[in-house]
Amino acid sequence: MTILGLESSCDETSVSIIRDGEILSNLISSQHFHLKYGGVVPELSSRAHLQMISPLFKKALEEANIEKEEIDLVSATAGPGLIGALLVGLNFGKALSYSLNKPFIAVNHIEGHIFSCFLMEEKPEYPILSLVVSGGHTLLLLVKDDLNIVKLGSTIDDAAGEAFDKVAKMIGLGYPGGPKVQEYSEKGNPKAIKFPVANLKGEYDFSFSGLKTSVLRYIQKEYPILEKITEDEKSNIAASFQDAVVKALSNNVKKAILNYEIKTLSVVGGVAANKAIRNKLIQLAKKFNKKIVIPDIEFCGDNAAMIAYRAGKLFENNIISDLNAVAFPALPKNAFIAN
Amino acid sequence: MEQFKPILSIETSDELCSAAIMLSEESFAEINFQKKFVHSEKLMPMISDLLKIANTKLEEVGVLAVSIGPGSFTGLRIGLTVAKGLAVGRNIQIIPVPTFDALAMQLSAVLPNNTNFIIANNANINEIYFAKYKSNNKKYELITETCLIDKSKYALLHQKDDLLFGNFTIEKNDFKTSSPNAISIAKWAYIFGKDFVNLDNDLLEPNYLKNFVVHKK
Repeated sequence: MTILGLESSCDETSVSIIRDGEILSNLISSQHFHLKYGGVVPELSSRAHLQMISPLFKKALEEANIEKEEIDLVSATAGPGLIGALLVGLNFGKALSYSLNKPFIAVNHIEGHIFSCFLMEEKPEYPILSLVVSGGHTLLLLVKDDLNIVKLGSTIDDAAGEAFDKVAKMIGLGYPGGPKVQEYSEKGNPKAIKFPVANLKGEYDFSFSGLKTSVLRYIQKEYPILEKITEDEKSNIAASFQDAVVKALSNNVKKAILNYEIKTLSVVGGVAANKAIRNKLIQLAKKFNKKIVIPDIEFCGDNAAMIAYRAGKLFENNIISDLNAVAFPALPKNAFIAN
Repeated sequence: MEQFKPILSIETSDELCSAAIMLSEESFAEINFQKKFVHSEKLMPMISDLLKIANTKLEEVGVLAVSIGPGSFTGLRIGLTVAKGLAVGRNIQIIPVPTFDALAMQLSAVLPNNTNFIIANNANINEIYFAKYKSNNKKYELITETCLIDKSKYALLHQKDDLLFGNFTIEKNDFKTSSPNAISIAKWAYIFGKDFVNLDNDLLEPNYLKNFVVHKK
């Protein structure tokens, strides 16, 4: 079965073709022009998606070395994400599926990330404990099978990736913050400054807003003149902040491993590219004798291969979408709630 | 004589979501849905139903005519994205149709001869999309090309007998018709579209009329 995936939820336009689980092409066009604004500008993002989507589709066919008529299923991200951006991929996908006379599936972006671990050679086994960490989301989920996904906890304020971006900005490392904070952390001492790890009512919930504020207070107190922060001190702040994030994430993962019967541990999403987080989860898996499957870095960020893969799983379970499928900006309130 | 090939057309520049298929010079089918925020949900089902009703297959369609703006950025993108998706699957040419010209064509067919009329739609808090035309034997003549102007400048451009159309209304009895029906998009493409037949579909973008300016906080 040959599946086309389209992804346009934020600042990457991506088109992928997978056949029987094998990736034939996975093209990603990143919108670097947002850098100068310090964040993604939705209108500019939507405009760029519209420019890229059709050429990228043709390129993906070329790279996969197939004709468009060989596509059996068309899929696109429907949300969550920037609404104007989502509308491009979703509507292109609906129209293309109609035009090719093939079924269409609207895919939940978060489910795409969750199932991105299946793109690896080593296949996860259900039940999976899945930590989703990205610029917009922080969720801890119990994935029982293809269709049953239960939310154990989520962030009550900022997403983990958001905290990385904000802290990077505070110490002048620029946007996007994740890679920069990691780079500086490697040179710093994670024990240099003690930043707090939130203790919340919801057993598996996360909070990064307090941590962010505490980093800000520290900088304001120690460095009234921001320019005076040395590179070494930046590294120490980055390392100590990152350490607090890793602790916050791993504390809840550990609790869940102890309280639920799981076979596989997985961390997915843009922030799953962070080495310290990956290493910590690998450690935990070893300690508790669980299988660990983490997507390669190229599948942590937004990509269409994961959308196509997820669509394939839904299709196997007889789930397809209508031409009236709509885009949704936020995760629905009832998403991942056990019935 | 060359056989007429059906023209499928899309109009999503404003609150009216409209799709039509022109089957010959005398015959067409059209589906309209006048409601905010339904375009992304309804446009594809509308096109699917339309082709069913018209007993026409997408591969029989000669060209796809799309209202290109100015208008709602999101609305225009939905229309053009759907067109691109349909076009790439069946190698169909897309004809970008200037929205205000198509509306002027539609209005001129019913206005008395030699009527000057303005189309003005709200663009944002301060600006409007503006164009001026004259009806001439059921056809339209361009007086002022579609442009973006400050609302405060409007009074200077409005002559005494000009009729005003569009959602930038100043008097209660002005006509609020702010976008054409899809069949007018198809007819415009039929009459004027020949110049566009070699356009690269991939390069088409809505007529945003100006660059988007990012205001820094």
